[in-house]
Amino acid sequence: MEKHEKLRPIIAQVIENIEKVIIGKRDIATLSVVALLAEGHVLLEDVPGVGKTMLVRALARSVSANFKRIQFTPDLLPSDVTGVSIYNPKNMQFEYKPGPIMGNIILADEINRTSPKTQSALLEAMEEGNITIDGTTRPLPRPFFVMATQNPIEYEGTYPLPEAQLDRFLLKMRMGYPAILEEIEILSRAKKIPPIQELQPVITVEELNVLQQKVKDVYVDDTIKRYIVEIVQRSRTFSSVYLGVSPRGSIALMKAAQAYAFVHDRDFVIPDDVQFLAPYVLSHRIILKSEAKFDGVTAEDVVAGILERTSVPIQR
Amino acid sequence: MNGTQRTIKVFFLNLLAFWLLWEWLVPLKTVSDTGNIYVFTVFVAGCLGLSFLGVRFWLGALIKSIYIFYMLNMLFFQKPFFSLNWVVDLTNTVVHNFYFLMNLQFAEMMDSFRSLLFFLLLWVSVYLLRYWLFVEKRLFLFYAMTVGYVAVLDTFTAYQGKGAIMRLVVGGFLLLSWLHYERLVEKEKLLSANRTWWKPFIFFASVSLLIGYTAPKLQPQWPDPVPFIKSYTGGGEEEEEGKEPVVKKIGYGTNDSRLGGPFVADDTVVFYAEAKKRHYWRVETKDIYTGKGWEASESVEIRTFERENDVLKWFEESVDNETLTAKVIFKRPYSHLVYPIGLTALIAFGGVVFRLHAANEKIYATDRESHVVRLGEYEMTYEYPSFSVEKLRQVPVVQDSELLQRYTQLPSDLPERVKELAQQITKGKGNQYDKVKAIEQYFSFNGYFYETKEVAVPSEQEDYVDQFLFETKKGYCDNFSTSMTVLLRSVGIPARWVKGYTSGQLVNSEENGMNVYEITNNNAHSWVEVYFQGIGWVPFEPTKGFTNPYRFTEQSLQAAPTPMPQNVQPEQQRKLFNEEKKRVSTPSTGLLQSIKTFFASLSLKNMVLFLGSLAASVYVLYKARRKWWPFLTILSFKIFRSEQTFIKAYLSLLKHLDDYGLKRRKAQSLRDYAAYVDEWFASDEMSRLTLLYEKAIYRKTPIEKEWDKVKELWENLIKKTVS
Repeated sequence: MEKHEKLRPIIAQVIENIEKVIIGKRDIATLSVVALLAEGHVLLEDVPGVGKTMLVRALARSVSANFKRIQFTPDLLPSDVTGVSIYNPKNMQFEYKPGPIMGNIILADEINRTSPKTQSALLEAMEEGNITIDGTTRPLPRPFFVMATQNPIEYEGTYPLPEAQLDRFLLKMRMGYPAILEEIEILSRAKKIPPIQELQPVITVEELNVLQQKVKDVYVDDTIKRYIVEIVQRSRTFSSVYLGVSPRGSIALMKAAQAYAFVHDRDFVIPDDVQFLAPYVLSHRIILKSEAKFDGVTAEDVVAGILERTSVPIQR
Repeated sequence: MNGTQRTIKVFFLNLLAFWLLWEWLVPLKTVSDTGNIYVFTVFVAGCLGLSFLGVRFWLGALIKSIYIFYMLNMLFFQKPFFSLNWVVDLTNTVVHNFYFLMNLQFAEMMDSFRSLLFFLLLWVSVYLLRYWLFVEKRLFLFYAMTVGYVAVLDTFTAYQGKGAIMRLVVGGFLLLSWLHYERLVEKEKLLSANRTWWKPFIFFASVSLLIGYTAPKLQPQWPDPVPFIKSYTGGGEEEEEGKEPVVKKIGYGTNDSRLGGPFVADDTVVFYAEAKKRHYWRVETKDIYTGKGWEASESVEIRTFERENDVLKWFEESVDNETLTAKVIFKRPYSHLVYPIGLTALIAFGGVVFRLHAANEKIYATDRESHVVRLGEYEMTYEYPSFSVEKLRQVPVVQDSELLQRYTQLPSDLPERVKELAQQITKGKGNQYDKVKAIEQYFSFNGYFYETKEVAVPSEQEDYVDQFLFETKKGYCDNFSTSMTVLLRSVGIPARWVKGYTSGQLVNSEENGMNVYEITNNNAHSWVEVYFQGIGWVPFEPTKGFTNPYRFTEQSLQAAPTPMPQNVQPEQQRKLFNEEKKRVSTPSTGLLQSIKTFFASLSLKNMVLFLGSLAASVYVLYKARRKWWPFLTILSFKIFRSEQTFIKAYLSLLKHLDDYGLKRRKAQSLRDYAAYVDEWFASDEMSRLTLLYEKAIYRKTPIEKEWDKVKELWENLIKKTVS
C-alpha cells in the first residue's frame, strides 16, 4: 500500500503532462490514463488534425515506455504489423524480425484505412496479449496499450471496423474541436518548440505494472455491480437498439470504473464513475436499428437515455 | 403602517400589559390581607395610560406621586389632603419604617409604608414591562413568571387559578406571538410582512385550550406542601385539631369527605408501639357516607375520663378477652391518640384528662384547663378479643333502632346497582355473620385489585363506591373498606368506617414477651367495623392483601385455636396474592383499564370535543411533520450511533430535501445531487456528508471515527431546510 501511495501522485503528473500538450482536453487525458491503468485499449475517433497523435505521443512520452507507431495504409500487410520470420542464410535458420506491435504503447494511426485482414491482426494481438507467427506464440511486452485512431467512417477510402471487433476497445472517444480560447492557445504554442519535445517521463514501465495491479484491488460494491448490470441489461432491451452490450461490456465498464476511481484517489467505485464512463465504454458496443440511425439517434444518445432511466443505488 | 394603526397597536399592547399586571394583583385579595386592590389596579392603569398618552416624564412622575400620596392619605391618615398635616405623619412613618427596613424587621413595618413600597414596586414594574414590550419586544420571562405565580398560588392556596390560567394561555401566547412577529419585522426590515400570523395562533390557542379544558386532570401529585416540607425537614408538627388548613385540596388530608385519587408512599415513622400482639391501632370512626367520602355526624358531645375508660363500651361479656398492656411512643406527637379496640385504661404522666369525641371516637389528651396536650408516650390496657364464629352466627338481628338508623345511613342518590349487588352477594346467607363474610370476601374473587397510583376520583355525578365496584375495580384500603361498609348498609347491617394504622413492622422483640413495632405513615389504614347484637363492634378487613389481625374461632376448633385468621385460608391467600401480582405485572391491563375508565368518565359532549380536538391535533401534527420530525430524528441520531442510523438518517434527509423542493432524479448520483443542494444553500455540507455516506454504502467502511462530523453536518442541513 505504501508503494501505492507513493505512486498515486504520478497519475496526476501523467495527466498533467498530457494536458501540457493537448490543451483543454482533461477528460480525454484522464480517459487515456484510465484505459492505460485498466489494461484496455482506446479507439480515438475524429477528424484529422485535432491532436489524436499528439495525445498518444504525450502519453507514451510520460511513461518511459517503448513507443511504436503504425501508420495504417490500404497496402499494409499483417506481417508489417506483427513482424516476420526471415531466412538467415548464415546460420541457415528463420529468424523473427519483430514488427512494430512489439512495443508498450502503440499508436495505430488511421486504423480504418487498412484492409480488414491487417486490422484483425492488430485486434487479435490486442485481445490475446500475444501473437503467433509461423506456429510460434510470442508474448507481447507488458504493459501493452494500443491507442487506435480512425477517421469517421463516412469518409471515403476506409474499411470500417466490424462491430464485433470494436468491443476489443475498452473506450471509444472523440477529441472534438478545441474551444476558441484553447485554439488561440494552441496557436501561440505552435510558434515555439513543440511542447511534446519538452515532456519528461514521469513513470517507469515497472511502476505502471504495479499500478495496473492496484487498480484491480479497487473495491466494487454489490450495489455498484448491480447498477452496472442494470445499465447493461437495459441496453439490450432498449427500443432503438438492434444489439445491446455483451457481458464483456459489463466487465469493461467495471474495470474502467475501477481505474477511474483509482485515478481519483478513491479505493472504491461510486455510481458517478459508472455514469461518467458509460458513454465511452458502451457506445461503440451498441448496434442501433437502421430506422433509429435514419432518425439521427446516436449510440451516445442511447447510453444517455439508459442512464437517465436507471436509478442510482442509494442504499444497501 | 400608518399612524392610526400604530396607535391602535400600541394601545392594545398597553392593554395587554395592564392585563398581565392585573393577573398579579387579583390573587392578592385571596392569599393575603391586602385590601383595596382597586387602588393599585387604578395606579397600574394610570401609569400605562400616562405613558401611552406620551405625557412628559416629569409630569407623569408628578401625577403618579400625587396619586400615591393622595391614596395613602385617604387610606391611612384620613386628613384633609391640602392641609398637609398628613405629610408630617407620612414623613415620620417613612423615617420609622426605614429604620425597620434597615434592621430587617419587616414584620414591624406599618401598612402605610408597605403600601408606599408596593406603589413604588408597581411603578418600576410598569416601567420594566413597557421596556420589555416596546423596546426589547420580548416578554417570555415575565410571562413564564406570571404563569408560575398563578400555578403556585392555585396549587398551594385557596386561590382558584383556573380562569387565570385559561386567560394566560390565550392572552399570553397572543402577546408572545405578536411580539415575535414585531421582532421579525424589525429584524428583517420587512415592509409588508405577512400579517396572517394570527390565523395559526387562533387555531393553536383554541385547540390547546379545548384539550386542556376537556382533558382529565391529574390530582395534585404533591400533598399539601406545608406539612410535607415540615415532615421532610423534621420541623415540628403544627397541625392543630379543629383548625383546618387554609389550603384544602381534593383527595388529600385529614378530611375524608372526598375520597379517591392516588397517594404517595411516605415512610416517615409516626410512632413505636410496644405490645404483645399484632393488632390495628384506631384513631377514629366515621358514620356518614356522602357518596364521595366520609363525614362524622355533627355531634359535639365530649366525654372525659382520667384513667379508666368508662365512656367507650366495647364488647358484651359473651366475648372472650385477653387483657393486655401496650405502650405507644410517638416520634412526633399528634393531639389525637392511637388505641386498640377493647381499650380499658390509658395511663400518662402529669394529670391529663382524656377526652373522647362521641361522634368519631377520637381521643385527645388535655390538661385540666382543656388545653390539648400532645403526649409523647403513654401506656394502655385493653381487652384483646377473640370472636367465636359460632356466637357471631347466632346473634339476632340488631334491634336498637337509633343505632340501626345511624349506622345504616346511605346517601339517597346511591346507585341502585350497588344495592342490587349487595343483595346478590348475600343471597342465601342465613345469618348476619355469613352475610358480612360474603361481602368481605367478595373483593377477593371478582377482579378487584390493590392499587395506589392509578386510583380514580369520582366525578360530580359519580358515586365513590359505585365507581370502584363497577368501573375501576382497583384502589386501596379506602376503596375496599368504604365499599364494604356501603354494601353492608345496603342490606341493613349496621357498619362503620374506621381509620387508623395497621400493626406496623416488628423491629424488636423484648425478653418480657413484648414486641416493638414501628408504625409509619405507610401503615395508615382504614377498615370496617360491624355491629353484632350482644357482642359489639367487630372489625373486618376487606382490603386485598391485608388480613384481619383479630381472632375468629370456630366452635369445633376451640380446643386448639388457630392463630391464623380463618377468613382467608393461607393457600387461598397465596393464590390470590399471585393472582394479584400477575395482574399488576401486566401493564396493558392497567393501561387498557385506565383508558376505559377515562372514556367512561367522559360525557358524550366531552367525548365529541375530546375526539374532535384529538383528530385536529393529529391532523396539525401531520401537516407540520416537516417541522418536528427532523428533530425527532436528530434525537435518535444522537442516541443510536450505528451505521444503520446513518443510512436511515441520510435517506430521511434526502426525503426531507425532496419535500423542501430540491428534487433528486432517481438517476442522479448522490454526489451530483449534493453539489446541487450545496449550490442552493451556498455551502459544502451536503457534499461533505455525501462523501462520508458514499464510503458507508459503496465501500462499507465504518464511519465510527467521523461520527461527530456526520452528526453535525446532518443537523445543520436539516436545520437549513426547517428554517
